[in-house]
Amino acid sequence: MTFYPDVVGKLVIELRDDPAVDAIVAGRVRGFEPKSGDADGPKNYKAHVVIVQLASERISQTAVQRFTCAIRCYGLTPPQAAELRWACSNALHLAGGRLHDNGLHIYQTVDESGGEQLKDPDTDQPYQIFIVTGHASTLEVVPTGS
Amino acid sequence: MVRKTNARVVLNRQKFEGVRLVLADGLLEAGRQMVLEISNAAPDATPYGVGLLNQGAAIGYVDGKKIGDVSLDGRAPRKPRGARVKKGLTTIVGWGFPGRFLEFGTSKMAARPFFTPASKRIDVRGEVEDYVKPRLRNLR
Repeated sequence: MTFYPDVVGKLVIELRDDPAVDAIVAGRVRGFEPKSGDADGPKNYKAHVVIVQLASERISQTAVQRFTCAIRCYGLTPPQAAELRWACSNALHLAGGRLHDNGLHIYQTVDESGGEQLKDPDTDQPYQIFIVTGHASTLEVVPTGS
Repeated sequence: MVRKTNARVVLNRQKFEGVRLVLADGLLEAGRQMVLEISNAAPDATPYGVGLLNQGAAIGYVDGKKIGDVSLDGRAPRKPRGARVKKGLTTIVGWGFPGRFLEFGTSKMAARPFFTPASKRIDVRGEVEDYVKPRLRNLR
């Protein structure tokens, strides 16, 4: 199987697996854009998270990439958006090294900035954004002894 | 006869402020280069991107006081509401509405990041050095 060092998919899994995040969004953590039905307008708000990769550059002469992702946290109310933002931040900030099943090793993720109270221009749903940066492998990492 | 060597260095403290101002100008110059680089990547499309090409701006501060600005449309840019300028040298580079929505996306529109990738292509340290080195030589 070919190895792709795609970070977004793994961050989606990490947030879905986090109990505090999942208690709010019930599995609605998406990469790139919301799934159909997540963002249906004022009478049908659903709490959800969207992860967008802003940049991912290779650190020259190493098998390491530095990535930057924006994480949009949509709540039913502004306080819930804040609660969701912090739940996501707690799940990722300084989470340390973790090796995923496909061999992608995320060395560290850091909540860099963000936290503004915002309203989506299309649906008026309250949300917050924060920026996560981190380092991950560009080659498959195989644990020693396996 | 042996002459006594004198290795005393005279520190011209009066020039320190000049050096800081040259560095601040260098940082603003790096901001200008960043604005130009990012403007090449800015999407110019409906519904949200129209006009973005001409919106980029940079503002330079020394100890909280504005020392200059650069903007693509020629108008004086305003400091972002949320920005807190602390002591020291600061340059803020940014785009106005609707840059944020294109960069991060909305419920109904996928993100089209233009700012972050283009800003990472600029070597800020190199730009500042290129600007500062010749000017510091003249600062005697």
